[in-house]
Formats: sequence, C-alpha cells, structure tokens
Amino acid sequence: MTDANYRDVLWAFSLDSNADTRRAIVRVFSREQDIYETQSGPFEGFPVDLPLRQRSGSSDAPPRSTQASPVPGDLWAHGQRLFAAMPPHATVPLRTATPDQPVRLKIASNSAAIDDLVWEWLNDGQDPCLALRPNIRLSRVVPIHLAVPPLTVAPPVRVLLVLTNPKDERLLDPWREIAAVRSGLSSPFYSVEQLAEPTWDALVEALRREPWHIVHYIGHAGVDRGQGNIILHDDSERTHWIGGSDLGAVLPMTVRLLCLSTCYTAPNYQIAGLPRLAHTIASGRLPTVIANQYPVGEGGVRGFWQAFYAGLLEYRGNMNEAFHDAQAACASTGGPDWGSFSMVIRDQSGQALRFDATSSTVAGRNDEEIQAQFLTQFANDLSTRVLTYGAAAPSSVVEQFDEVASTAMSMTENLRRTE
Amino acid sequence: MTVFDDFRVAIRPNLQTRTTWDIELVDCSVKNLRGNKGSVQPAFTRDQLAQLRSRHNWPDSNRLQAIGQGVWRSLMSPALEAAYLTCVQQSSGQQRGTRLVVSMIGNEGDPPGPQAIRLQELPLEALYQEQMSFIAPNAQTPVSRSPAAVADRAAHPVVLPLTVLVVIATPSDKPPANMLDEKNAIIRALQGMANQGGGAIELQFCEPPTREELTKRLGEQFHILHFIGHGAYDIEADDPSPRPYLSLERPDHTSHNIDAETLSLLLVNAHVRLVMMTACASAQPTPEQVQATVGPFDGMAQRLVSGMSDVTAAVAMQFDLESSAAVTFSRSFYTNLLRSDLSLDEIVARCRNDLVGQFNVGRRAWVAPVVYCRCTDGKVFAIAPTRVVHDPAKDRRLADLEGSRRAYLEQIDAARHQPPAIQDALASLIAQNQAKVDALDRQRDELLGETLRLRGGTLDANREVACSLIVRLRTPAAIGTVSCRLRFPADKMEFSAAAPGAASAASVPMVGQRGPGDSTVQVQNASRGAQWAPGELELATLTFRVKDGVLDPWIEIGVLEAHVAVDGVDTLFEGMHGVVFVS
Repeated sequence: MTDANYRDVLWAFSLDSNADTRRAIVRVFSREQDIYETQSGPFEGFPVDLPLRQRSGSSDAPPRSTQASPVPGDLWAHGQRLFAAMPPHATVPLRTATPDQPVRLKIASNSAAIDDLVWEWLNDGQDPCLALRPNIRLSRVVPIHLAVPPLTVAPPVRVLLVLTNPKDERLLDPWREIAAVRSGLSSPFYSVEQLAEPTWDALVEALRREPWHIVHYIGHAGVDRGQGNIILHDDSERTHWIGGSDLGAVLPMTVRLLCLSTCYTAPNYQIAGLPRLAHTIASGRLPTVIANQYPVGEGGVRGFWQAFYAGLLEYRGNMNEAFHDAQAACASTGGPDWGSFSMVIRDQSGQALRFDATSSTVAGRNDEEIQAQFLTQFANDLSTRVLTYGAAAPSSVVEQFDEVASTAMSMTENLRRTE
Repeated sequence: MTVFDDFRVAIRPNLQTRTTWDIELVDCSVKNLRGNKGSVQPAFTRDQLAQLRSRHNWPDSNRLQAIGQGVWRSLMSPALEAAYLTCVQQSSGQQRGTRLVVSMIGNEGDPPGPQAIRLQELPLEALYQEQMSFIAPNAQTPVSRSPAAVADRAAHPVVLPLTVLVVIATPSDKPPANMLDEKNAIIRALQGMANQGGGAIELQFCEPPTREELTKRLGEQFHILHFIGHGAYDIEADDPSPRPYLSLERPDHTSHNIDAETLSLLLVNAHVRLVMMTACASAQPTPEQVQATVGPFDGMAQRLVSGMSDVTAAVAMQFDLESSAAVTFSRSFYTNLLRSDLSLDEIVARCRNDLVGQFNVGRRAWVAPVVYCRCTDGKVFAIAPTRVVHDPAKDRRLADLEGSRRAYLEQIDAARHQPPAIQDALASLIAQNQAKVDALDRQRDELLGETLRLRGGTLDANREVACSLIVRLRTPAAIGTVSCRLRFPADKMEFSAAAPGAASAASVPMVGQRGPGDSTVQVQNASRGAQWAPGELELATLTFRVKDGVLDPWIEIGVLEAHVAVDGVDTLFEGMHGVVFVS
C-alpha cells in the first residue's frame, strides 16, 4: 500500500474560544497542508457537540481511567456518541471507502480536551468500530505543512528500548514488561538494544551515539502543566520527568517512530501523559508516536506489538498498515485493549520508514533524505509561525518560509523520482 | 553588591502516599548536604490559603506569621531545615546572601482532602521561621521558583533603554476596572525613568488591547511584556492541571482569551525576556472570583518560562494587589531593574521590603509577587548604560531581520544532538545557515549605519576563532579612540589574543579584563588622523578559544558600550554582537 492508495479525510477540530460555553468546531479537509494554505473558503467550520470532560466530569465524558481498563460497553457508546456528533458531510467519504483504496481518517485538534476523547472507538452502531474495518485506517495527526520524506533503511531496523522503574514510583516487574514488547522484536530484521541505565544523560548519550530508527519507551507517565512527560531516573534512581519538546530535541532525525508503552505490571502514575506527549506541538520535533491511552493487560501488549512489528516489516515501513493489523490482532483476542493504542502521525503519511534490502543504495541516499527532512522541518517551523501570526506575519518570515519550502520540496521531489 | 549562594530545592508529590511531598536539595554551598531530604506532610491548609487570598481582615501580623509557619513546615523537612539554616549561617558569615530557589515538579491531581492544598498552591513567598522572621522580604535571602532544577539560561545583554510593552485589558464582561487609573499608576511609578531625556525605560502601551494588536506589537522588539488585567483557568478533559489564560479584548470590548500555549508561541518570535503579570488593581473581584481572577497569573508564568520562547523569567501576582501597593511595587521594581548588579529575585525582595516599609509587615501585599526564573545567578538582563535611538520603521525591520536570524540559529541548534553521521550529512546545510546568519548580520549592520560589529566565524582545529572588530561609517570621518565592552560566557570560552586589523595596522588593540567573561577593548588613534571613507573598516582581530567539551553549536559575544571618537567627538555607536560557530 503506497501513499497514493489512500484517500485522506482530515477532521480538524478546534475549541471555539468565541463561545461562552465550550463548543468544538470541525473543519473537513482532504489534505493536511490545506490547514495552512486555506484559512477561509470551502473549508467551512461546523459546530459539533462533543462529550468534553469538564472539571467535575460530565456524564458522557470519555471513559478514561488510570487504574483499570474501561468497560467496553462504555467505550462503544462513547464512540457512537462521537460519530453521531459529526456533521453528515464529514462521514460520507467513510461510507464509500474500499479495501483497495481505504480512507485514511486523520483526527487533529488544537485542544487536549479533544485529543483525550477515545476516537479509536468511533463507530456508527455497526460492528466493528471504524478503526477495525478493512477499508478504514484511523489515526491522530499533528498537522504539518510539508510532508516529511521517508527514510530508506536497509534492515536491521535499529530499536532502542527504554524501560524505567524509578524507586519512588510504583515498581514494575521489569522482566515481564520487557519480554512482552521484545516478543515482537525477535526477527533478525530488528537489532534491539536496551538502555542500560535509563537516566536522561544516558539516554542523550545513547541517542547521540547511533542513528536509531525506533525508540520504544516502557514505563510511567505524568502530566505537568498540561504537557505529557515520560519518567526517567535521576542519579538516585528517583523520578526525572522529561517533556515532549525536550525529548524531541535530542532524538536523532533517523528516529521515525516513538512507541510509548504503558507499564502493565503496576498501575501507571498518570497514563494521560503518554498521549499528551504524543500530541506535543509540531515544533517539538517528535516523529510518529504510538501511545497507550488507557491501561492494557499483558495479552494485549504482547498481541499488539507482535503484530505491529511483524506488520512493519511486511509492509516495508508503512505504519498505517502495521498499526491497523496490530489493532485488529489485538481486538481478535477480545476486550478493550486494542483501543488503548493510539497512533499520532506527525509526518503526514505514516510512511516514515521505507525498507530496502540493498544497503549500498541506502547509504548514498540517506544523506539526501536527512537533508530533505531537515529543510522540511525548518519550513514547517516557519509555517507554524506564519500561521500563528496570521495577517500580522512579518514579511521576512513569509519570505524565509517560501525560500526554505521551495528548496525542501525540490529535494523531496528529487528523492521521490528516484524511488 | 551582594554575592549569593544558591540553595536549590526540588519538591514533588509523593506518588505512593498522595498526602506527603518529597524534598530534594539539588544544590547548596555545602556540597555534602545535597541529596534527598525526606518527606513532609503539608501543614499549610486550604483555610489558610483562603485567608491569604482574601482582601479582608488585613493587616494581621499574627495571622500572617501563622501562615508563614505553615508554609515553612510544608517545605522544610527536618533535614532540609537543618541544611538551610546551616547554609544561611555559613554564607552570612562570609558576607554572602542565600538564594532559595524552589522547583515544584509534577502534578498531584485533586488534593486528598478538603483542607489539603495542591503543591503548586503553596505560597512559598510567605515563609516564616522564628529566628529569621519572614524570609522573602530580606534582600539577603530572596525566594524564587524555577521550572528547572538547575539554572539554564544566561543573562541577556541589553543596551538601554529597556523597552516595555504594557497591555491593560479590562473586558466589559469581567469585573470593572478603571483603565485610566491603571495606566496613570504605571506612568506615575516610572516617572523620571521613562521616556524622559533619553530615559532608561521606554514604555509603550498596547492599545487597543486586542489579540490582533498584541500579535502585531510583539513583532517589535520589547524586552519586557507587562500585562495588567484578568486571567482564569480553563479545564481541559481530565488533566488535573488546568490551562491558564489571559483575557484580552475584542473590538466590542468583550473578553477574548489567549491561553498560555498560544501566548508562548507568539513570544517565540518576540524576544521578550521578562513577562510581568498583575491583576487589575482597581478591579473589585468578589471573594468568589478571587481564586479564578488571580491564580492564573501564577500558572501562566510557569508555562511561559517553561516554553520554547526566549522568556527566561516572569513575575506574577498570586493574589490581587491593591492600587497603592501596585504603584509602590512597580516603582521599586523598575528602579531596581536598571541596576546591573541586582538579580531578579533580589530586586523583588527589595520590592517586598519597600512594601513592608510603606505599609506594615502584617499586610499581605508583599507576599503577592512570585518570581519564576531560569537564569544563571537570577539575572535576566546584562544592562549596558547607553542609549541609541531608532525610528519605528527601522526598528520593525531590524526585528524582522533578528527573527530570521534566530530561525537560522535555531536550526543550527537543532542539529546539536544528532549522531555524528547525521551531523556529517547536514554539514553543508549547517554551513549555509551559518552563512545566512552572517548575511543577516551584515544587513542589520547596513541598516543601522554606524556600528561597531564583532564578526565571528567558525572554530579552527585548535578550537580558536579570530573575530574581526569592524567599524561601519556612514560618512567620511577621522576616527580616534574606539572602545567597547565584550561580554561572553566565561565557562565556555576565553579571550586569547588581539592583533591590529587591516584598516588600522599601526594601532595595537588593548584588551583588559573587568571580570570573568567581561573584557574591554580599546583601539587608540585608529585612523591616525586620516579620513576614512564610508563603509566597513577592520580595527582589530580578537582571537577567542572555546573550551574543550563545550558542545554549544554557537556562542554569542556581546558588544556593549561602543564608543567611537568621530572627528574628535565621542559618539555612541550601535554594538553588534558576534557569533562564533563551534561546529
């Protein structure tokens, strides 16, 4: 499945700051870049009544718990409620999707309240949920203006595992935790290393040492001032919180997937920190992220990651397909675990890696890919600034964006032609 | 001038008990006292918090002492208390002050009981200990907060005037306030300092106080953003830490909120280093509104200082400040801010002391200000006492160029943590970005006309870089003595040699050291009586060595107090900082 096979539908939500009450607006796009290029015109916003959680907790708020898995019936009703809230024109493309040309339904928002809704359970009352149907791929997105070109990788894919277990936190069973994830990485096409000492300094050093492709974190999370954090160790093996932007600043550009697995042998301190981190603003420079949004059991963890990592090889780096297969595999065992896994695409395509068995071809190509990625991210940073300023954007920033974007697009196009 | 020892404490909710807080002494003058200092059961109650936030029944010294003792017992575990008192005693014996900096880390969700408070609600500034009395108003023991356990930002070099953008917003759907009184209070507070005879502070008001106008004005270069108005919290989903926002106005004067994250993003381009937030002093919030009206400044300050912008410090009020106290605070604050030897927490400690002096220690006004700072030694600005006047159009263009320059530097920063193979792949793009920075510096130089610029470069194999000190002339002139100050991070680089430049080969530059990272350069009789044509002329080459192990991708060398004798007249030129690229 290539990018051209998908039909994209983007639901871009925003909280209506003009209204006295908390109300959401949705705009429907077929391309992410339209968010940046079209501020008015055909992409009219429609009010939607979403079950957003208030301070005291509303009756139809998302069924979320940090201690135990939510009840499937509640999740199903929640997903139905979300679907019913959408204006009809937003859901029409979903009905016409086919397995050969699936709809890639992307959900974006400017608000943590909307991100926190369990969109994975979106359903129209018919079994199964939309995300599990063969003609739909459902993901979250942090929209960017220009698509980040994929990185060609000659296997083995380098994976860095980070398991944390700070002593002032509810202690995990590290062997079981790591074994459940590693069971998916047994293929010789993966080269896996576990960070020996999960401190910030050790992580930064490990990330500087080698161009990893995937970083897989297992452990507790936390929310600090609205931002998601993973929890590493300090020098005394106590907790050391790291936010999304700090993590994004040290990830090598070759890391194209960040997996944030909740611990399951002890209740997560604050699991909401994982999806919050996944939704860190675009300038935070994170890659595509898969994160747990509610607690899962050991069977769910094993089932999902085995299918995901196998699918990633099978689909040559296409995360849309690998994620879809993994959700389906996890769902087939029953229970709500499958919907805990949420994928936040941050490169537009979810095709962040492209496997190629010929290592000699890859080596020469990677430098150009890295350069194109660097310029694309620079252009996207500038585009975010232009969007933030709106009509008041300084001309120099607009000119700078035009110049950098033009070079980035030209490099990406050259790479595409030689694929 | 008082020299301070840091006493940095990290406090976090205990995840197991939910009713205790864990204390860690991160840094202090007695090294072996550092480390875990156990846990405390918060003694400060929600009733006490309500009393402190209420504007009624003050002054009351006994009540404020009881509150301060509760705060002390909520922060000071026995081990931390012993360490603090030891460090204060030792520092004081050496005529040094002790700076208490507290990082509150994590978020504990809802309080475990009706009388319990959240960690973030603890009014640290009220700390009281029997022998020491109130801690925060004592300029020897300032109290501040930091989002980071260690200071990670350097003071920003500033050529006066300090520019301040004041936003006063009083939306019609919020409790009423007399906007004119607020504005006059600020102007009165700054009388003699602002906009007068080349004054040291340039005050501008954001009028109308709309989002559009604020966005536009932030495109200009201001050092300080001072917001006066209403704020509130907005709860999002099950996040136990609500999002704070400030209320600006729409054209019809109803409120238009700007949340902390959006403001933080706007500030990414704005180069504002210090944000002040005060509640409308003339507004009359009802007791029910007090929490919602004043708390958000605290939350907003944390977010802004933690964000990706250049904001390195914020001063916010944790409850409303009455009008007369606001005037005293502003006057004292801006007066002390101009003193280059004072740190921000020390400045605010002096403000607290002035409030105590004017009113009474039993009045709670001095507890209201909260300082968030992530700067080394608590210094936000490194102020040079000079003044250069620009016109607004030129200022805007300069700000635009600076914005573009910063964007290239940020990209160079972004490559910093990449593995060597990736850095190699990016080498040509990094070099292009370095060249862009140099080109933009040249454009700024041309726009300014008369400048003294340090042109940096890239390190050689010996980790040295020869920087050119260049004077730019707009008109033909004979140039006599040229002098300036250079400021650079002494922990990262050192001056190593000076040699005459191409244009003044006969004049050997003299370099003196005022302190670590603070040097003076003087070139005497630069043109030897000859008239130099307009353009760029190299006066000296100054070689710096970057220390081993420094990984910063670039280091800025500030050029301050640039004096050039033009046809016999000592003239102040614009100093243009140099950038040294380490990789």
